[in-house]
Amino acid sequence: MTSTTTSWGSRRQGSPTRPSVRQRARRLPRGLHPGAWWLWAISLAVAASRTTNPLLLAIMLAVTSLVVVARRGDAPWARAYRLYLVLGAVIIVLRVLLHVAVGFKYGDHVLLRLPEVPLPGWAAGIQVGGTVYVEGLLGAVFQGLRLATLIACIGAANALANPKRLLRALPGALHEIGVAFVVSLTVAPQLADSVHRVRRARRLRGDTVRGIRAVGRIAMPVLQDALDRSILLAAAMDSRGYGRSVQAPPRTRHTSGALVLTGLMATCIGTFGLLDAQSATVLGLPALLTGLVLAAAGMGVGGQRVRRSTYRPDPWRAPEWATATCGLAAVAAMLWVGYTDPSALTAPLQPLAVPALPLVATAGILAAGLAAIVSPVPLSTASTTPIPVSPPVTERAQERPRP
Amino acid sequence: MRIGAARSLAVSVAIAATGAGALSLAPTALAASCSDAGGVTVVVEYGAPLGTSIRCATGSPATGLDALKRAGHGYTFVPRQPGFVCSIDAKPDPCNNAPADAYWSYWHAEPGGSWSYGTAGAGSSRPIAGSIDGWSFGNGKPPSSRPPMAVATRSGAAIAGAATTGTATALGAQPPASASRNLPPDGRGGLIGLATGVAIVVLLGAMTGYLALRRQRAGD
Repeated sequence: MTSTTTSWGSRRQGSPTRPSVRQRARRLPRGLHPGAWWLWAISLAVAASRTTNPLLLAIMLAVTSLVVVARRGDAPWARAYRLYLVLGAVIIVLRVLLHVAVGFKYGDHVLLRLPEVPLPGWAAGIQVGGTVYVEGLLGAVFQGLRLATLIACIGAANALANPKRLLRALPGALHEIGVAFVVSLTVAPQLADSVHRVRRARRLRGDTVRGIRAVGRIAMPVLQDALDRSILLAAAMDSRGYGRSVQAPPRTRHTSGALVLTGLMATCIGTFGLLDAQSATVLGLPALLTGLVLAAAGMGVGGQRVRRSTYRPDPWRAPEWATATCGLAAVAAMLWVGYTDPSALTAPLQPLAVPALPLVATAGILAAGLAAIVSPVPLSTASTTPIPVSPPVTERAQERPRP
Repeated sequence: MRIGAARSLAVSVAIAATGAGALSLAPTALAASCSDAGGVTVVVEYGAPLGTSIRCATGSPATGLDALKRAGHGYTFVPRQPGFVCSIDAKPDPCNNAPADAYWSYWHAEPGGSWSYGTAGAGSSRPIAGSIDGWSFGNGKPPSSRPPMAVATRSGAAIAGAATTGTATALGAQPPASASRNLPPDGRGGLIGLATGVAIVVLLGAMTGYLALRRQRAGD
């Protein structure tokens, strides 16, 4: 852990001894391993999915935003976080509208009396319109907030992690799936970038149309831009050997296919066995573990035929461990509170009351925020301050004439 | 809303589970029902240790849940899943730890008729005046006691109630006193917790704003 603290002190000056090469390498701005960011973000998302407590969700949103602002780079996808926040707000509004329109309304405090549309018997259970209560509406808002927080966590991972570097870290057998995955993941950031560039171009040309009429003028160039980029991406991938067919003996192909298929089926059965309390014990954890081992073996066999070299692979050092641990701390705290005091994770609606602030869960979420400190400063292409690789030239110039 | 103690006791009959013999006596048509013409009789069968409670939901309850509440029962929803009744009168407690094969099932019946499974949820069903709502904790089986018979007149109800009051007290199998009217605490916190939470959010927000401003100044 001591090495992680030095990454924060990159601006510390005037140290009497010159740091060694290794120490300097640790302080250098660099992108964190994308896997670490994804692990951190998914941990936070899992923690968010366990609660509807608005206090915890708000703290989680604040922590995520802080880490993104502190540690995002200046790549196009790094600006996408705001988009995800907007998407979250839209989700909350939609959730409330749906609750008012067709939701199940419950509670004691009447907020709004709306006429209810009578439905035939086969549509029992659906309530169109009807009186809106404070409790039900707040429940809908908190559920929307939970989904918005989850999406913000995924948005944070998108803004913080470099998707192209994530692709490199995938095992060989998953490479083709990974390519599709990365392309789909980068759609939103690429769109954000396109909109940004088209709007800037419009401003430079003096086009000041705003509002709904500007949508038509922006949409067309953005579409064209997206198409152009796809063709470029396809050409670039083609030239780098993606999509080539690999000559593998049929026996290897069949072995890896059979292993992966059997493994995945066993994994499904194992998951079902774990969730269903009445099934035999053999169908639970043993089947799940066997399935995972089989699938991993199959991927290993399949991956052997794909030979790739990686140029400058991303290291997994102490900052990566620390960041992942920060995220896992949030999940652990949330699961622990969910086990010991489940009601603290639920917004009290019956009767309405001030939500609790469980100490352990709050501490866990704040620990996730430490990722803003333990992770290295990201590489910036447009940085105004020079990267402190070597001592300033003036110092050397003063040293030379002396002897 | 406070129901008169005499009436709520009058319509509550509980069967103590002192042994297998007591349980076998359970399916008897109990002559306790609503004296109120627009009311709905609510039968709640807790299962083995607590027995059964029969009470009256006075007035004209709008939904099944409303009837449950008017009859003086407290209920909670499954955490984060409003609409699914998780516990009635704090059984099971906590409702997260309910066995996977037991839940509260919701039934309807005419006086003296037979139970039929509620096709609509308790939150959206409209109980008919004079009918009976049944709640049974178990693996989806109807309440083991038959729906109570109709009581023609108010006086009849009063007599039936007077007869059963003593029985219920003697058996001492009322639902837990603390749970019958008061809902179990459901994750409520104090103002200090709220203030701390808001302060944390504001502090983190201020830090985020400061960092964002600094980035913007740096020419991002």
